[in-house]
Amino acid sequence: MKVRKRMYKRGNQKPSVMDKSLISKLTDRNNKEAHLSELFQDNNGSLGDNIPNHDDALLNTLTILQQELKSKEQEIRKLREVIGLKNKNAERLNDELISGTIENNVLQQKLSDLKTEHSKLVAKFFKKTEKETNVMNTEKERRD
Amino acid sequence: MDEVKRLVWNGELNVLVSIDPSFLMKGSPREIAVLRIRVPRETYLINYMPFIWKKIKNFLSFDPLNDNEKYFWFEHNKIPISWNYPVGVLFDGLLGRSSTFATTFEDQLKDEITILRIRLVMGDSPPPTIIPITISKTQVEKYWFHQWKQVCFILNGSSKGIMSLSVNESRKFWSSIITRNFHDFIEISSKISTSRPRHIPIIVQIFKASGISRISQPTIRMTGVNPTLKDIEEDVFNTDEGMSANNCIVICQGIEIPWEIVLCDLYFKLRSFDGFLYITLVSIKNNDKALPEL
Repeated sequence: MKVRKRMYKRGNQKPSVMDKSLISKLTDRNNKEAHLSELFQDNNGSLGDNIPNHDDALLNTLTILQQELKSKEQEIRKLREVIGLKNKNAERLNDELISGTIENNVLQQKLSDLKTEHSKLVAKFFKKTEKETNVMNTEKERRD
Repeated sequence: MDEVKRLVWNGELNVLVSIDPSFLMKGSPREIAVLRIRVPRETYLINYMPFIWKKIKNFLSFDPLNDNEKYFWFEHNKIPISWNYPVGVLFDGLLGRSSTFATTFEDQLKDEITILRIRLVMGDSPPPTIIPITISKTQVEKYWFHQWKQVCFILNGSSKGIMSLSVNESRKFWSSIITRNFHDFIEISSKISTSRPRHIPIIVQIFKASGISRISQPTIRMTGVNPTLKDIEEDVFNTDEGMSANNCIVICQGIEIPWEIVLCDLYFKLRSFDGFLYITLVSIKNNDKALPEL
C-alpha cells in the first residue's frame, strides 16, 4: 500500500507543470515544423484521391506506349539472354577446338615415334636376313 | 493529458520526396520527379506509396504494381530508410545522425524550414536492413497490427486485449490512422492499454558522438517505485559505450525530454501510433551547430 501510495505520489508529481511544459514544447514543435508548410501541399492533406484529370486520349496513348516500352524491354532482356547463351556456346566450341589441337599434336608425335621405330625394325630385319643369306651361301659353297 | 496526445497526433512534417530518374520515361518534366507533401509524424511513409504512384504514373517507364522483378525503398543521403518506423521517429533519428548538439534541440530549429528529404529508389534486390515493400495493400496494416499485438503483450502480459477487438473495431482502428481520426484512435487504443503496465514497450535509438548509431528494445519492468527515465539509464546504455545521462539528451516526438520525467507518464503521453515509445538519445558535442534541414 505504501509502495502504491509512493508510486502514485511520484507518478503524479506536479502533473500540471510537466504537462504544461510538454504542451508548450509540442506546440512549439508543431509551429516550427509547419513553417512554410504551404509549399508542401502536393497531397492537399489527403492520401492521394485528388489527382487532376488529364486528356483521356493522351492517357490512352501513354498507356499503349508504356506497354510497348515494357514489351520492348522484355524483348531486350530475352535477346540479352540469347546472346549470353550463344557466347557460352562459342566459348565451349573454342575450348573443344583447343583440346582437339592438343590431341592432334600428341598423336602427331606418336606417329613420328612409331615411324622411326618402324624404320629401325625394317633395317634390323634386313640386317638379319642378310646375315642369314650369307650363312646359307657359305654353307652351300662348302657343300659344293 | 489529452491535449498532449492531441498535439502529438497533430504533428506534421514537410517532406520532400525525390523520385529516382530510373522510374521515369526520358523527357519527363523535371518537376514531376519532386513531390512536396505534408506527412503526419504519426504514420508510415509507405502509406504514401499509392499517392506517389498516382502522382507519377503518367510518366513511369514501367508498371510498378505489376513488375515483380523490381524492389523499391526510400533513402536519405544514400542511406536506406526503414519504412517500418513512424515518420517522426525517422526524422528525429536522421536529425540525430546528422547533427551534433551544441545547445538544446529546440534552439537549433529556430527560424528554419524543417524538411525531411527522402529519395525513392529502386533496384533488383532491397538493401539487407530494409523490409521489402510489397504491392500488397495490407502489408503495412498487418505490420502495424502486429506491433500493437507486441505492445499489448508487453503491457499486459497477454495479447488478450487486442485479440478481443471485434473485426469492425480493428478496421476502425487502422482507418483512424489513414483518415487521421484522433477520437477513434484514442478510443480503441485505450482498450488495449492498461493503467498499470507490467512492462513498458520502448524502442531506443542511440547516436554516439562518433556517428555510430544503434537501435535497441530494452525490457523495462514496472515493479516497485515508478521509475523515471534516469532510473532506467542502465537498461538503455551499454556500459562499454561511455555514454550516460550526463552527456546525452533525450528526444521524443521531436522535443527534448528531461531525464527526470516519470517513464509511465512519458509512455502514455508521448507513445507513437504503433503503441511503442520511441526515444532518441543523442550525444552532446560542443562548438558545432546542427543543420535542421534534412
